[in-house]
Amino acid sequence: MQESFRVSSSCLSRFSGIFFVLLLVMAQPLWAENRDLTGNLISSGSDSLNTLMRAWAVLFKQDNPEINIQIHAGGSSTAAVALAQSTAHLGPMSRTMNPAERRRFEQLHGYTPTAIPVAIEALAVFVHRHNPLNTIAWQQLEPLFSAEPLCSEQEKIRYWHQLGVRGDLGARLITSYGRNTASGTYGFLKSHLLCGADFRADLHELPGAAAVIQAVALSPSGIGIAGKQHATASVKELPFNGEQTAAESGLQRMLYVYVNSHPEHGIAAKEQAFLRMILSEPGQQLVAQYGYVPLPAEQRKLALGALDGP
Amino acid sequence: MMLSSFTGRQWIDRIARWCVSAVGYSVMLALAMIFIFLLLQVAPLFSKASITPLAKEDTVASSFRLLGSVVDDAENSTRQAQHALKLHRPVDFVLSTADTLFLLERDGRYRWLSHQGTDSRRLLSSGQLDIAEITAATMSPTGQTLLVASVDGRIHPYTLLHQELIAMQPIATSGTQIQQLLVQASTRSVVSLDDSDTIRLFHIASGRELAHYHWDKHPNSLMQLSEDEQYLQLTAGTMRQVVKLHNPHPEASWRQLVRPVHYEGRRSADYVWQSSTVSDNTEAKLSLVPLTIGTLKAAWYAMLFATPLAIFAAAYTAFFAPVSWRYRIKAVMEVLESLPTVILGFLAAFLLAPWLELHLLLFLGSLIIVPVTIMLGSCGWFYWRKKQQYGTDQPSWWLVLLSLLTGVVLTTMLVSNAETYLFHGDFLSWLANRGIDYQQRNSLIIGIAMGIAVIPTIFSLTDEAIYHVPTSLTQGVIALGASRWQALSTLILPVAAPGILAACLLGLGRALGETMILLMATGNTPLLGFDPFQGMRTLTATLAIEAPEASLESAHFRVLVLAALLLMILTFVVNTLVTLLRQRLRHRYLQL
Repeated sequence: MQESFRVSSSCLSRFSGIFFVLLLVMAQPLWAENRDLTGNLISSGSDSLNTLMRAWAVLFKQDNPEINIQIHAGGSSTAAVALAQSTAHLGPMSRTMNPAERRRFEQLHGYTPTAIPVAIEALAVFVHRHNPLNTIAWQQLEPLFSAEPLCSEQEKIRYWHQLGVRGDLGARLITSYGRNTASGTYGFLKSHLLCGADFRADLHELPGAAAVIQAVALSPSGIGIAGKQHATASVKELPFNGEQTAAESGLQRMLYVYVNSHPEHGIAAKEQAFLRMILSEPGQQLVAQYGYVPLPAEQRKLALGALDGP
Repeated sequence: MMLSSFTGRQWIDRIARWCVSAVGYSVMLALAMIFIFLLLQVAPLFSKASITPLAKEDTVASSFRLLGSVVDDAENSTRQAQHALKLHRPVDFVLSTADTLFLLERDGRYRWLSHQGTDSRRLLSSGQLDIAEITAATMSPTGQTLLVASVDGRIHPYTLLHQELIAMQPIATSGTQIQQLLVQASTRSVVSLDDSDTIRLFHIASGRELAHYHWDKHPNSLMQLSEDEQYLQLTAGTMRQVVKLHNPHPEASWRQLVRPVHYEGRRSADYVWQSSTVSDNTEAKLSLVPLTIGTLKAAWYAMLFATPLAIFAAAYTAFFAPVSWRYRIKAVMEVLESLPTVILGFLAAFLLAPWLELHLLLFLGSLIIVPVTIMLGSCGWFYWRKKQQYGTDQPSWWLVLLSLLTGVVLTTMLVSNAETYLFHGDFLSWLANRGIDYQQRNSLIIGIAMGIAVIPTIFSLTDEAIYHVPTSLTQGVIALGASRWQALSTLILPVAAPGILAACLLGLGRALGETMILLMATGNTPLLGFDPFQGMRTLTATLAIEAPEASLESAHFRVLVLAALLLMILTFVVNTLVTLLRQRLRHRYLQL
């Protein structure tokens, strides 16, 4: 397209060059209808999905070089707001939308947003690499992170000796690191780990999972929850002792991409193609490559079914 | 001819003046508009809730179904419960949720059972409520809150925590006996129907009456809440009336914003900022107190660090140092001022904070030892000079540097020994054993990082104020035999005081409005109190973090705007004070 423009502008006078550009601009809608995978694809949402979204975007660009993909990662809550206000096409979220967010979307559009599961993330508990602790009980997590344990009947855990640490560290306050309120991790943990209770007021809220790992790496008295795939050598992952299975599944969560699916027209072509790429074999290989868990086959089939629309 | 050229110039002059004043006025107008916009955004937060009757012909939208079956369900479960528990006589109030059953007698005796499935029931606890006679009772659908109306017309909320009933603040009503209570779960409110046939809507945690509605003389009426909790149906015999409950922002009122509130699921009343609700089962807790205290605390520690350093530095450059030095130092200060705060925040979070956690004692020790060594060094210098009869002029910079270095080395040596012998090898656990908890990202870090950001502001203004004290005054005092220090402390500082105060206030304004350092170097923990070893969450950082996630028109969003307004007023007041003080200073210098 640029090639032809250069040729024509060299032939014609400056005025007709402008005229030609105008013609092109006016012809744009017609031309766009034939090849719909152009223009912008804006994604706004989860930080947990950020690296994956970027990897997928690169993969998608290989097949659709004309498309311009922008990815903002401000946390899952920003996805709900952006999708409702139509400032984004894709809303990656690391939790499901809550009723209030769904209501907001329904108010503005008249129908519910569609969630497409894309990957599974396993969260884990991390401490400083010099921490003497080697395991942690699943039941200790709620009293540790909660302002007031609702489900667990244990006392609040605030000091390291309550976790069985002796020596100098035992007397120290546990510095807890977690994600900011806008994140899906925060929402997921609040509803699944804390039974809806508040996080302790001295939870350090950080803007990303990598920031949590980094903060724990620098803090000898720190503990944090973040996605397993972010782990580095300077932190120690604490496996759960006791009821392994319950704990493992308790910290595993589905990651979604929310889209605006019109009840009659279905999902727009650009979003449709992007999501199909995510659910394709190479898309799911990227999931495994980045340390997340790919979707099981039947879930993938279900998700692809949801893409076809009603 | 002369006249026309004169009018031409006059016109140009006039147009220029108009343009300039138009620009000036539009700036002021823009400021006023921002202020008004913020006010308009906040105002609906305090709009009244209302209960409005629907006309007979108005039908409620089809998606909405009045729950007629609730009453039947309750009766059913009552019968079931009585059957299952083999009760000999009926229980007065049977309150059931998905997995609990609460049996309550009029005299306050209660039994609390958990039921999984239909048959397996387990007694969780039983006891006696501290209420003489109960006229009505209800439970929130989540089973977290029990509400009981006593005979004096008060409503007593209880939060159910494990096997305990924790009494919350009683809600005072008009004093008329209450017949029926219903919980509007989505807004954490309770609707009461009393003997005078008045419906009242209260917010449970704050005990605030939101709205009331009088239904004309229909004794023995009954209330039912619609499925979406927006409508209330009143029935008395064959009479029927539907009212709409409009309750937009129950979670925000002055009381909740500035007073301690006892929320459900907590043991006591507290100032809580937990704006994220995640699901409908949790309530947004929007107390501005922790955020305001966070802002003031951060500013306080920054000022504590910056003020003495900046004022002494300014006194040195403006009064003691040679003029060439003054320009060099001022240039360095300007570079410091132009340093982006995000860099300071980054350095504070990832270098200073971990370093300080490892070397806290060294830092605290050097705060005492270094100034002492510098002072001792200067004293020694004067003593030596006097003995040699050289006269006592100012010590040169290398002496200051030498004593500074000596101080640092001395501290390092002392501290490593002190930590081993006095504090059992680890200062932080020694502190922890004495009840002082240390968090890595704390007020000290903020004091230093934000102090560095604030120092140039205070320094420049103080320097100007001191430098511009009329030279006639200084020369006069020195001619009368005062030393330089005497001149500074007795004459210059008092004369320049309004200017120095203005400088400090300007620094304070900067500290109150600072965002990036706080966002990065604090843990954004909404804590109360002025503990130097704990973090904070400030108004500015909260705005930066939460503005993108708050949906427009929600109470959360409006409270954030209120926080912005509060911040704007704070900085506006501080900056106005600065301007007034500087005017006064200028006036004073003109008089002298």
